[in-house]
Order: sequence, then structure tokens, then C-alpha cells
Amino acid sequence: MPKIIYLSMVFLISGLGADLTVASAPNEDSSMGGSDESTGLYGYLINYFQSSLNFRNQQFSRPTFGDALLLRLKGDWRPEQNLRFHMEFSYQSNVGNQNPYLLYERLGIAGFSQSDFPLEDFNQRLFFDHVWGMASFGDFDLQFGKFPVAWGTGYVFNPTARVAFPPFLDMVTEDTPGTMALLPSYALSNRFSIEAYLAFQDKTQKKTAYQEDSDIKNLPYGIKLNGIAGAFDISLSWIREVLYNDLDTRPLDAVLTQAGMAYIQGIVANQAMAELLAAGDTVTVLEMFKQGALAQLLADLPRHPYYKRSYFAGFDFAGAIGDCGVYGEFVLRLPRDNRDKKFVLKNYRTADNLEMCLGFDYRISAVEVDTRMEYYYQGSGAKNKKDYNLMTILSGEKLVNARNYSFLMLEKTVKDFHKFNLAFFTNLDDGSFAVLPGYSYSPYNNFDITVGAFILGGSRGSEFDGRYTLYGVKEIDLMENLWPYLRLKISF
Amino acid sequence: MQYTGRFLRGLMIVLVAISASAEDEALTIIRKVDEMGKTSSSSAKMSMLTYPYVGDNSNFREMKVLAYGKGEDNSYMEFITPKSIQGLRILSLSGDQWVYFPSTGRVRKIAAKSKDQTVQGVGGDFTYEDLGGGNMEESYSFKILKSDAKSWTLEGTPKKESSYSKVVITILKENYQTPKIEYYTAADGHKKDLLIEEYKMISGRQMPTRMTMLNLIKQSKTVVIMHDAEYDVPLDDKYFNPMRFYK
Repeated sequence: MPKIIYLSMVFLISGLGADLTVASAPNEDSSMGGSDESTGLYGYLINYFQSSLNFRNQQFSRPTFGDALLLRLKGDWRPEQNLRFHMEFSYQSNVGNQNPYLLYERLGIAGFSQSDFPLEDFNQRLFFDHVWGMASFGDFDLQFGKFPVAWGTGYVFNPTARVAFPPFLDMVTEDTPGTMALLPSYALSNRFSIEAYLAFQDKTQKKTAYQEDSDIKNLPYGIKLNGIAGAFDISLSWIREVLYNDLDTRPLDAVLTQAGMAYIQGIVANQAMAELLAAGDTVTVLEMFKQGALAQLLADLPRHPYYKRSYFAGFDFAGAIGDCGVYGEFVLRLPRDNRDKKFVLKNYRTADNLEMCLGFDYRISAVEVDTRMEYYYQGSGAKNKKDYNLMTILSGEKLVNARNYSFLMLEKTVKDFHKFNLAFFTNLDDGSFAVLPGYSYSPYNNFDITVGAFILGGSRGSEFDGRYTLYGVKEIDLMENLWPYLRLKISF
Repeated sequence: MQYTGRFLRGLMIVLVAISASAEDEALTIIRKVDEMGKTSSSSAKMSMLTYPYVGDNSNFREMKVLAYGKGEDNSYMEFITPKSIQGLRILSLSGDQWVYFPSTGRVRKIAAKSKDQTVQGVGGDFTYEDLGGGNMEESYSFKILKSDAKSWTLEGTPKKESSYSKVVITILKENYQTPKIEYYTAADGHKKDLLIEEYKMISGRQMPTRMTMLNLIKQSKTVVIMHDAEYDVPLDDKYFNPMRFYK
């Protein structure tokens, strides 16, 4: 039998967990369509409806509701054999408990009143997420534009992916966010390649623009060597991460002391002015004002010392041991001094600067269940739950608070169009957990219905308990512990 | 007794000789079958339809792929439908597999799977072993079960570890085409039938363009239809390079 027919079917069994569906009508004689199948528009629409409520002391709280709508329109063009263009346009609308501003309001960090900005739309947005081109010259490829720089072999965590925030426990977003960058790559052979990126946005991809954005030292970059050794793919990398974070993560006492000192200095200055005015010395007060204003005008442009640069040495691998897929990803944050001038080893602890994930996947043939297990270690995480800092999560500096996590997923497909999932995500340090049961049904070729829930639990103040103590003084119930949802997806 | 002993030895020699001759003939036939399917490279667009219930032709899933093949063991595939995974690419090189997921921009290496694993997550009735590549001669020892005016029926027993206890192949004498292959396992007996239902003249040779795998235990089937196939065509090397097949 011709090899191509054998191999044509490999994809059927490759364990992709692909979102494939049931056709509504026979179409066996359909042709393959146009002459260039890689050109065209396609995409999907997802509607995600979620309720959130608390279950505590054997009672349910009053639920909240919200809805997220995501349209993703994708386009591919290949004007010549060695040229590619790809774009992904998004329309996203979030209302009710799916709107992040509600969370900010609940935390008291919204920072402004939405009604002060009547022209601003806090519910929906339109944007191009991926817009990129690629030109190939022999074994050299140059990708440019806004595209996902998705390094790493992990499924849930990717310590070597350090240019954008990945979607995390997110049932709506399916695509890795794009980053403005250049990415040249060169394949030295079928077993070795080198690639690098130079990005033009810090990891937050913030909406504000500061002069420091144009400073070359604030451009993230990464270099990676890829190789194949036996049954394993391996990579070595060097990465500079740049993160803009102006959220105040200091202890509350330090924040209040600084604010108090500024307040006192203001009172003293005002008192001195008031005394001069009371003595009838208006000229001196006016002169002091002018000098102060002039000093401000002549001063250097304002600085924004909120750019954090970190350097990482990375290693990742993926391969198989017997019928078990194994993978791992490691980065070590290198000891750079505060002025970003040199590397210093003083007081450096490897355990605090290591980030890694290790995982495996395996199919239990007897019951036709696919399993995946992943362990994640974050050396910079908090050792104790009282040290959790919500601001580092909101700022994107970290995905999770603690040091040790595990992820376990089981998946079973029945008669091709019923899929059952069960995932456990556990904070191994404080014992809190998220359980994610789900069931998907595909009644048509391009339509999926999923029902499921997030079930969160843990001791008071643990990561997934939902009750956070802000600055150690104020407890807020940040998130409910039961989120049933309905997800509808149509692909086109 | 002496006479009887000589007779038996002689009979055994004759039987062994006949058997060896039969095996030689089976080997010659299967080599011819292998040769018929051998190509240096290939390009095709294909549809694959999986039916969870063999008697219900209204319920099936359809996938379309652009596929390139090179040598015995190398293939590249790009999904065209379903739309949810359009652009997904799979490279298979001598048993190793890499998958490019366009939504995440990530290439993942896929672990080897157990040989008897069937179509996972997607459905289908082909196992890794069915698709495992290599030629028939390397995989099985054959003997002729039956021969009539139109066809031979060969039985193959696995030479190496296999999920099948035997295969039975029908080969047409006229053109060495294989309209049917039966698969047997120790546990289930006669488990599956592969039916090659259509051949077309492509690139100067008769090649199968439609086949169905029937799973007699699960009562399901999978149909593969070839469109626009070409053989021994020049292909860009990048499609078979794990470092840049997704570029």
C-alpha cells in the first residue's frame, strides 16, 4: 500500500485532542476546494457564560453572572512560495462577572471612576493580535510583525516563554498573544537550528507610552539553540525579560510612611507660606512659586523606574520514554545587580531563582483515557501563604503565588463526539486546589458545546480559597469558589 | 521399521521442500506488492471520514489534509478542515512526530504511542501499527493459503512484536492489487477489514484512491479518499525538516 496513505492517517492517532466534530451530512465526494488551500479566511466565535457563587457552611451564596464573547478572524496568504502573511483580528466583549474592571472595583484598585471617561468603552474592544509576515531564504527564515513567541515544551507553564502573559485557566482565549518582534532563524541541518527574537514591547504590553520604551536596554530578546538527540528534542536559551510594573508591592507600612512624610512636608511648606503671606510678603511667596515652577520645567524629563530587567539561562526538552511522553523546561534567573550593570553572586540562592516544569503524558489503553501530569516549581514564589502578594499576580509578574504546583488531567473521548475532561490544579504548599470537570459535545462538524465548572477550595487565606487579606489588614472575598459555565464555539 | 523411517524422513523432506517452495512463492508475491506501492515522494490532498457507527452514514466526521510523503517513513500533513484546527501541521520522520499548533505558535514533540492504540480523540479505526510504515515483507512471514484463477490469499504472521496475531491478504493475480486485508488478534479473532475500493492511474501507476477500514468489534468504520495525488514529484526539503516544517 502506498506510504502516503498510511501516513495520511497518522494524524488521526497523534493524540492531538483536536477539536474535531461530527459532520451533519454525507459529503464523501467533496473535492478539496481551491488550488491554494493555505490562503483564506477562517476563525471562530466563542460565547462563554459563567455564574459565580460561594458554597460555604453547606449554603450557596447568591450567584453573579457574566458573559464573554470572542470573535477571532484569521487570514492566511502566501503570495509566493517563500513568503507568508498571517493575521488574526479579535473582537472581545466582557460583561458582568467576566469584566476585569469588576475585579478591580472589588479590590479598590480601579484608580478612577469609569463615569469620568464616558467615551471609553469598558466592555468591549477590537484589536489585531497577530499580524505577521515571513520571508524564507533557503534555510533561513525571518518572521516579523506581531506574532506569538512561544518558547518551551510545558503545557500549563512555560518558564522559557517570557515575552507576553499567557492565558492561564482561561476558558475563552485559545491563542497565545502576539508580541511585536523580529525573529530570524536558521536551520543548520535537520537536527540543529538557531533562532533569536528581538521584541519591541515589554511583557505587559502596556497601553501607556514612556520615553524609556525607546531605550535599547528595555528591549526583550532571546537566543535559542535547538537540537535533536535520539528520541529527545532539546534547547538551550538565553533570555532577557523586561517587565513594566508600577504597582506598589511594598509592605503597607512602608507605603503609609512615605505618604505620611510627603503629607507632613506639604503641611510644613504651606505653613511657611502662610506665615509669609500673613506678614504681607506676597512678593517672596510669588518668587518661591516661580522658582519652584521653573525648577520643574528645567528638570529632566520624568523617569519611570518601573522597568524590571531579568536575565535567564534556559533549557528544555521533550521526548519519549517507552510509550510515555516526557518534557521539562528550566530557567535560572541570573544574579544581576540593581543597576543592571553586572552579575553578582553575593547572596544568590539558586533555589530562589529557579523556575521549572516537568511533565509527562500517557494513554491508559485499557480504558482509552489520556493523562497528563505536570509539576511546576517557582523559586521566587512565596514560602508562606501570609506572604502572598496579589499585586504581583495582577501586574503579571507571576501567574501564581506559591512555589510548588501540580497539574493532572484526564480525558476520555467516547464515540468521537463526546469528550469528558477532569483536571486538578493544586498548590502543593498550602494545599488549596482547583478542580475542573468538563464535558464537550459536538452535534455538528464545527460546533462544540461545553459545560463544566471551576471548583476551588482550600483553607482560609490559601491561594484558591478566594479570601485574600490585602496588606495584612483587610480581608476581601476576591473570588467565589464555584464557577459553573457554558461554552459555545462555532468554527468557520 | 527401517523402511518406515526412511519413508517418513523422505516425506518430511518433501513437505519441507514444498513448504519452502510455497513460502518462496509467497515472498515473491509480497515483494511484488511492496514494489507496487513504493514511491520516492508523493503529494496529495485527502479526505478522511470516520463513522462511529458503521450502519449510520449520516453521522461522520470529515477531515481534509494536504499531505506530502518522502521515502518509506517520512510525511508532512497540513490540516485544511475542520476549521477549528486549520493550519495544524504534523511531521512524521521515521517514527518521530512533531506537531505545530498555529493557535499557540508552538511545536510539540509527540510521544510514541502503544501500537494497538486506535484513533484517539478524533476517532477512526486505524492503529499506529496499521500506519507504522515499512513494507509487508519486513513485518510479516507469509504463506499462501489459497490460490484460484483470479487471486492469491496469503496469511502473514508477525516477525516482530505486533498487536495482531495474523493478517490475511487477498492479492489479485492480474495486477497485484490488494482489495482486502483482514486483521486478527488473539483476543478478538477477526477484528478488522481493510477494503481498498478504488484504484486510479496516477503518475503512470495504479494507486488506491479510496479505502475503508471496518472495525468488526466496534462496528465502526473509517474511509480515506485521495484527491489530486501525484507520485515521484519534487518537494521542498523544509517540509521534512523538524526545525522548520512549520515555517
